This record gives sequence, C-alpha cells and structure tokens, in this order.
Amino acid sequence: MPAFDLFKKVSKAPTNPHPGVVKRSFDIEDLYRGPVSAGGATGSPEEAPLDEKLRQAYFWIVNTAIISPHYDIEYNEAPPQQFAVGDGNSRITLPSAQSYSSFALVPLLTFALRRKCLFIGGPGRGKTASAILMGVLAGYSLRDVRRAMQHGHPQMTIADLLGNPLPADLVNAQKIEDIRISWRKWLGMRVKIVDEYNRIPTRTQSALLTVMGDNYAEILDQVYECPEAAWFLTANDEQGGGTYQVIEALRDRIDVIVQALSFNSRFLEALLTRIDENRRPEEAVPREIIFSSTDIDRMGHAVRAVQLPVPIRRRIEFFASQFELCDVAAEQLEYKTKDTARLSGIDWSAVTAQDTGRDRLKDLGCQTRNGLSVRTLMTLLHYVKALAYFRGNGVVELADVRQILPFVLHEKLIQDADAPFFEAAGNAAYRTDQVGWLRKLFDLACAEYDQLDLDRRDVVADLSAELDQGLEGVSEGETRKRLVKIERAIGELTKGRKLYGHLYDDLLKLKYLHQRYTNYLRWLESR
Amino acid sequence: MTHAPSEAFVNTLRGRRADLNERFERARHQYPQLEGDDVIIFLRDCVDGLAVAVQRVDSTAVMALVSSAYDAALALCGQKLVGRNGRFPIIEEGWKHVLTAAAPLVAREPARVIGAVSNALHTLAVTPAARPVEWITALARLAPRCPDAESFLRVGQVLAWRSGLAHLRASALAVAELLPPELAAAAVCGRDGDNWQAIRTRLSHDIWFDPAATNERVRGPRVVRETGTFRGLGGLFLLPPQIAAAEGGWLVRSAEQHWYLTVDAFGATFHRAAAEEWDTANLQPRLPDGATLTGSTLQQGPFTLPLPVAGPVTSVAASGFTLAVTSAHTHTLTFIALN
Repeated sequence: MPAFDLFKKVSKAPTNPHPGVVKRSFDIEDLYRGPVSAGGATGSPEEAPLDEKLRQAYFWIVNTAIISPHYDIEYNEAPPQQFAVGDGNSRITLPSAQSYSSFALVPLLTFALRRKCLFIGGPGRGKTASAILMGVLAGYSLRDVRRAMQHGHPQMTIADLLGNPLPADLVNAQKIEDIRISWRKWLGMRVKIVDEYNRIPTRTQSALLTVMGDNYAEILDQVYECPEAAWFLTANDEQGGGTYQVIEALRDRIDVIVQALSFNSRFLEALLTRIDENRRPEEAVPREIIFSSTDIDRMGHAVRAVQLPVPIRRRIEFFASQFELCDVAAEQLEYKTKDTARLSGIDWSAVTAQDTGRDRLKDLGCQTRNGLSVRTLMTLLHYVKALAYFRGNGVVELADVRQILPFVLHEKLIQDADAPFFEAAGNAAYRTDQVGWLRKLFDLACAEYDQLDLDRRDVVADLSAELDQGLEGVSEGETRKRLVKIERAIGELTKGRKLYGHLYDDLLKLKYLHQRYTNYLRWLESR
Repeated sequence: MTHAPSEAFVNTLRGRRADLNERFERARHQYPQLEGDDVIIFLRDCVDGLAVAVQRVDSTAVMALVSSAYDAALALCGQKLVGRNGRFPIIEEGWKHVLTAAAPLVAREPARVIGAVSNALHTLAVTPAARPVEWITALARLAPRCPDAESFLRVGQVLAWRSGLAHLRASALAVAELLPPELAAAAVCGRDGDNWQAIRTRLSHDIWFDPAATNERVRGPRVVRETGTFRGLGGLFLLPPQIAAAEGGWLVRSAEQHWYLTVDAFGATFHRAAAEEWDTANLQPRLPDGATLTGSTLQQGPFTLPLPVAGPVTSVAASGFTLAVTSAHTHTLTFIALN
C-alpha cells in the first residue's frame, strides 16, 4: 500500500473533544504513535467508539471526498463574530464552536439512523456521488453500489424496480403462489439509492412506496422482506417537477431533504488534483470508517439512549403547536384544523380571507398551509437525538433542535407565501430560503415561549404532571378539586385572549385531563 | 561541510527513481509545505549513514530500508518537523544515533523500527520537561544488546519513562518485566550489574526512588521535585497554582484552568483536566501520621524542614508519602518525600 494515499487519511485526533471527568489510562504504546506510519509496529489500533467513528467518517467526507465548504450547521460556545456585506446587509458569521456542512452531515445521520434522505439541487453537484459514498460506508464495493443504484427514467416498470417472475414458472405454475420471483438484488441491500426518483412513472412510484414505507416488495402474491436500510434519493427539482409528479405519499416518506450547494470556485485546485491523480474518493474509503450492520444496530441503540430534557421537549411541543389551528375551518374545537380545511377541498385563499381577529403577522401558524404530522415529529426527535449523539453528547441541546429542524421540516411544513409575514421588511427572502425560514420560525416560537415564561409558569404542564402520578388512591374530593382546578385554568387561559395554536393545544390537553378525571369520578361514584 | 553520499545509497535511489518521484508528488498533495530540498538534505544527513550501517549488516536489506526511510522522511519533512525550518531537530539527532546503533534491527524491520523511533522522538520533543537527548544516548548505548526489534522497542519505552514521561511509569514497569532482567536493570539504572528484582520491588512502592542516584539514603523529609512555571516564561500557569491529590496523580488549578499532573523521580507531565474533576477533588489533605505542617515549616518526627515557599501557603495535598505545596508568590509546585 502506498504510504501517501490522498483519500485514505482519517482523523486520528478526537474529532470533537469534550471536557469531562475521564478515567485516565496512559498507555506506553502511545510513545510510538505519531506523525510517521509505523508499519503496524505497535499492534492494531483500538477501534474508535462509534460516535467517534461517525465523526471520523464525517471529517473524511468533508476533508477528502466531498468539496462542500459550507458550514451551515452552526454552533457557538461564545458569541460569534459577524460581518455585514453588501447593500442587502448579508451577514457572514464565524461560529465559535465546531460547525458542520449539512450536505455531508445530514446524509450521514440518515445512514446512522437508517432513514430516508432526499438530495436536491442542480445536476453535477455531487448528489449521486454522496449517495454512493453512503453505500460504500456500509461496506459494499463501489461496483455493487453502482449496480444496485436505481436510476429513475420514464419507462421504468415495476419489474425493472422489483424483479421478474421466472418465465418457466409462468408457464408451468398451477397456482399463483407457485410462481417464483427473481427479486432485484438492490432490495436486499442496507443502503438503497434511487437516482432521479422524480423521473419514475407514477405506477412504479406506488411500488416504490411499498418498499420505502413498509419495507417489503410484492409481485404476484410473492413477498420479499427487505432488511432495514438507509435510503438516499436524488432529484433535480424538489417540487416533483421531473418527468412525473411525485406522489404525495412517497414524498411524505422522505425524512430529510438536503440541498447540494453550489461549488466554490476557490476549490478548483482540489478538482485538479483528482484529475491529476486519476482517482475518485469513493474508490478509496478508509477501512476504519466502514460500518458493519452490527455497528449501525449499536448506533441505533446509542442514539435512542440520548436524553431529551423536558425543557427542550416543551419548546418542541410549543413550536409544533403553532401550525395546525385553523379557527374558521370548523365549529367544534377539535376540527378547527388546517387538515379539516384541506380535506374539504376549499380554496386556501378563501380560508385565509375569513381568518380575522388574530394578529396574522405575529401568529406563526399563519405562515403555513398545514401542521406537523406525527411521522414528521417522530423523525424530528430521531434526528435531534442523532445530532446530539454525533456531537458526542448524551443529552440534546436546544441548538441541536434549531440546527436539524429545517432539514426535517423541509417540504413538510408548507409555506403560505401570501402570509403577511413575508411582506414585512427583510422577510421576502424567506419565501425562497426554506432552511432559513424554518429556523426563523423556530427562533420566533422560542422567543414567544420565553415571553410567556413557560419554563416557569406552565399550568398545563403542572396539571398534566399531577395526572401522570396516577389515579390510584385519589379520593373523590381530591378528584373534584382537580376538576375545578382544570376548569379554572381553562377560564384563565381563555379570558380575553385570541385563539392561537399553542393555546388550542393547551385547551385540548386540558379537556383531555378533565375527561380523564370525569371518567374516574364516575367510576368512584359507581362503586 | 557536506559529504558525498555513499554509493549504496545513491544506487538505491537511482534504481527506484520513478517510484520515489511519484511518492514525492503524492506526498506533496497531502503536505503542501513539503519541499524537495528538505527531503534531499534529510536523506543525505540521516538516511545515508543508516544505509551504510545496514549494508554492513545485510546488503539485501538496503532497498527496503531506503524505501521505508524515504516515506518517513516525506512525512517528517512535509509536516515541517525536520528540515531547514523543522520544529524538532532532535528527531534528526535520533535518526543519526539511535537508528544507526540499531542497524541490525532496522535491517530486519525497517518500517516498524523507523516509524516507532521517529514517533517516540516526536513524543519526547513535544512533552515539556522530557529529556530526548538522554533517551537518544541511553537507547543508542543499549540498542546493540537488544536481540530483536521487540526488545529494542521495549527498552525504548522504559527509557522514555526514565527520560521524563512520568505518566508512563506503571506501563513502563510492566514492559520492563518482559525484558531480560539484565537489560531491564541496565535500562532503568543506567548502568550494568544491578539486581533487577530488588530494584523492581523498590520502584513499585517508592515513586521517588532513582536507582541511578548515588546518595539516595537521606533521612527525614526532603524536597524531591519542583515543577511549574509562569506562562510568560514558557510555562503553563497564568496565576500561582493550587494543588489537590487525585487518583494516581495530582490535580492542579490556575486561573480557572485545570491539569492532571503525574510526577515521580524521573519527571513531571501535565495533562488537561476538567473543572468538574477539581470540583470533586478532596481539598482537605490528610498528612501521614507524625507529620505536621505549621506555616511553611514541615515537622515529621524529629525532623524539621523549612519549605521553599514564597508567601503564604495556598494549598497542601498529600498522597501516600508525598506532600505537595503551593504558595502565593510563586508558580512552582513543590513536592516533598516524607520519611
């Protein structure tokens, strides 16, 4: 093996060192570790912990494989330096802590979580190359990854995607279950890549939806169970404006969307080196950053073990509560949702025209045409934990939520571009900048949360915690007292206030608590 | 004055010219600072003599030696560790003396030995208060007595501890156990003829025992080490430090920065520590029975020792039979071995 392989270098230093109480062990073998390759002099190095291995993979990707000098996932330990440039007062921020490039990080988190990532962006920006890298990180040969990659095209059939019945069986079979299927090899892979998925015909998209959504393929009553896999899809146009409109259910199965940003011409030399060397990074992924299936299983366990503190969970709840309410959609409180309006088929502008009384500039719910689905919220929680894990933390920080949220909610939270917010000075750019807009939404929600002082005064949380302690042994008198407390809380919350999304969720929660106590009281009385 | 390179060396370079040039080009992509002249000078000064020494032992090994040495030279020059503006000229000294003395072992396993020695020199060079010259001298002396590369590298590890890497004490002693007793004794004592088992026993319970010291039987408490310097003078501390005992070592705090300190008869090394470690450290020292500290005077049995402090004592820590003291007007930590 050559001593100097451009693409094989993996960071040996801790990629994100953390202060903390550590059990020190000084190993004499450290004496012989250093800047010179010792040719295996001191035995095989210990395998890095998986979060460190994941960071090594990230840094290998950004330093060697993908030229993406866009550190758009910013972290700060101290106030960052900022500079304004141009008439539009564009800002350049210099983060004071380790920050990351979404184009490399988000797919890597998807790989670790075995979820589904869509790369969007113009042609030739590295979308497919990044997807291929993920396949190689899973231990597949470059040849296998390339062969297994599905290329969307207008003539793609279900048989092209899933496989074919064996011709002999088609002729000889007496029953349909006797027809064996020659399943396509890619269905059994742990990393699945679908290139230009928006060029796949609608009928074939439905077959793809079954594989993506339910993890099995079906032809002629024969079922192929696929292994858990990470999915990487690419599209030149996120709006589904390829050859075929992407069916909504398929788009909804995509967990995160990441944009391939433009090439920075200052890095042309790196391209020249690749030409000079006649090698591609994906051909030289270092062995140290290849993840086995067991590694990914273990990472999954470790990610789930990351703690989400209650104050941060409350902020996510508060943010998520902003969007579903549509006061004019129904008469009954439970149905006052955007989904009700959508299901009715009414024109959206007709709905917003009726919406009066609220401050439409202040109300974050007015900026969207929909609310957040359960699937989206679960995806958000997964990625939030994964980002904290990637950073070497056992507990989620608020910055983790703020940073990953736009990539999860991209195309999940549909913007209402006619909302007054976008007419306000300085906000027009948010119509085109999805990531910036979603981050701004979260910031505004957090500001509102702080203004309401919900970390200290949250009557709904207090009442909920009381019920969470259980009803065992709660007396009739105590139950009645609690019911009165809930009714009083509803009275306080509704007194002279407009109905906003977070209040809507609070009221429904209080109604739920009231109902639980009511049922319990009835049971006590019937004994 | 430069000397002409040896024929064996020149022939080897010439025979692999295309391959070596290609390696240089690849290395230059990895290390943009790599300069051809640095590599040439390093090869001439450090590798030529080694090639000659290896040729005397085994002429068939020269090719492999030059290949391994060349790769190491590219890595060292590319990172500006050696060469005209190299940060650690001591690495070149190590190549000249240690590797040449170990020529028979280098001939057998060139990449392993060259890599290990280079990295060890680098480790010693970057560790404040380590003594790489002492390591080079001692290892060059013992290299001809090592039967194989494994023993040679173990001797190097033991000597690194002796040359100031106090944090490696425990694992160096374990490695020394794997050496032939006379070689282990020679490495630890710096001379021949000592009884390794007796030395080993004392080393295991007395961190201040130096087998090479001539007048080590001093009665009563004594100052055994002073370490730590003001940052403006090249040290670590912005303010006079404080000290606390920790498992296997000591914790030191200065200006809200913290270190874990290992110290023994051969050296002292500082390692970054977290504030939480200091916060949970026991700051109430318990002196061994019979020892009392009054002001800056230590009393142990019939012995009295005025401590070399400057200003009021700011912290005292005790671990085993060692006392550590800091004071208000100095950045130095003082260690006293009790009787």
